[in-house]
Amino acid sequence: MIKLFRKDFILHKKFVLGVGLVYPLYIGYMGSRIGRTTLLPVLCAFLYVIVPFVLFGREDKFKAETFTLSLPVTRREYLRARFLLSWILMLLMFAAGSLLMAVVPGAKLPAATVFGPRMVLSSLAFIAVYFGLLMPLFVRFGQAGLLVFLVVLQVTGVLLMVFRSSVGIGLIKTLFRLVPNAVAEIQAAFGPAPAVFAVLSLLALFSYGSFSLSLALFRRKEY
Amino acid sequence: MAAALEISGLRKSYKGFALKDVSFAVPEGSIMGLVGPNGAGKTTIVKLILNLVRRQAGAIKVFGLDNLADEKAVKNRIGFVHETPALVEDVPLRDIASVVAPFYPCWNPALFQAMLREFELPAGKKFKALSHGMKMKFSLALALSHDADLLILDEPTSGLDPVFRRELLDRLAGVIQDGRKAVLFSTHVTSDLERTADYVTLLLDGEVVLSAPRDDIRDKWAVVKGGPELLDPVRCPLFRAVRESPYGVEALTGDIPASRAAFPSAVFDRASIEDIMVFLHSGASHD
Repeated sequence: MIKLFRKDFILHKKFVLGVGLVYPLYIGYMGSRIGRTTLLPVLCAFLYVIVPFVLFGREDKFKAETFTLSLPVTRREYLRARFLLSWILMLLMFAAGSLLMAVVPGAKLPAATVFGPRMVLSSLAFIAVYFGLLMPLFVRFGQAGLLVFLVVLQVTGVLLMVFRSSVGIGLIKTLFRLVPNAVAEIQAAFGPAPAVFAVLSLLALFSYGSFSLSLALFRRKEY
Repeated sequence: MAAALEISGLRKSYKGFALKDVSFAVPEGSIMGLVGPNGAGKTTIVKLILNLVRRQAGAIKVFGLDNLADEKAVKNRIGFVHETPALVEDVPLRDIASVVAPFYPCWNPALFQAMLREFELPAGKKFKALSHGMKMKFSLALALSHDADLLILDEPTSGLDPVFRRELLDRLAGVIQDGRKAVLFSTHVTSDLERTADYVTLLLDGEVVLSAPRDDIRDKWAVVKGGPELLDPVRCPLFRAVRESPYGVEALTGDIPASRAAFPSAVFDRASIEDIMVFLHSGASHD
């Protein structure tokens, strides 16, 4: 695992350093312009999630996976290292981006809100969901998987709009509020700690499902 | 003699191509040349050994270990060179080596440095700045620097100048001197095999048509030259392939004594591996 981390850091060090220095500035500034607490995690989480895929895309571009997978490493190890590396990168981006968001002069949301448990938890949730959906697509389609994801999002958006105009917004809102409502109910009944635990467990389960699906796809991949 | 690599009943199909029950073994202390025209399935076999593509049937054992069940242990003992070396391009060679080294417990940094010097590869040069031949040399340096027991080289001589090519073949001969190691290298340059290989496996359209010690091939196979009598339907089953030209008839036999007895007036020339490949690939078979 460490060997694979090391490999990515050495082979992509310029990229990691460049992105690590510049990208949080961009996210920090962009995030500071957003004043809606519901919009911030939805948008920023996607920007954090892009980072590992751009890094993996470099290896894809050079077709270097054939070489890496010829080394003494199994596909499970390789994918596990990618998941862990991705989470490390995304969390670092999240921390740096949020910090800058809070300190940029004229930020629309106060630091207390940006670092509030609700914001942190919802950001983590969106990161986990985006990443969990993107990874199997990336494994299956390479960089084109990102486009597939965006197209699926667009199509879903269009379908929801059609659905909304024919059935009404009530059902959609109910569907979207299903998880937050369940968390709120847990919090009301048992307190904040079990609610946080429930959310994190759900995210872990979702990520595990994504890993299992990605691994199944990866094992079928041929070079 | 124990087998360093044993392949049995290997199958893999793609649209328009299939490996059909490929079986052969590379004994320890030997070099096997995997030869065949482009598209015969050589690279697919190499990729199957390294688990880069999924087999549909059959078994691959490396020093007795299954290449899938014991993937890491197997790959630890393999040094590989791919047909087209592809690595992250914008990093220096020394960085690539520092990435590869920790994967192999037996990595020998002094040997690697010596090989870089010998192959005239500057460690600070970026991979993308190398020519195809230099990339091949770098891949060879990586493959030879961790004391691999089995070297699997896919078209290792492509893009190499004749001098280095000869040196490489000599080096491969040196690798197997301890009697424990083995080399499998695929090529369509048959002169490489004549010089180095102890065993030859010939692939045509995904099938093994010949797998034998090179000396056996030299002793048993010949190109028979003569007139129309070679087309005699009673006697010509001795031939594996027959070719007619305006100047006469040429046939390939794998049984020189029987063919000599049947056609005493014909001319017998020892068949090169290239002759065998060309005849079996394009000649009309009488099997």
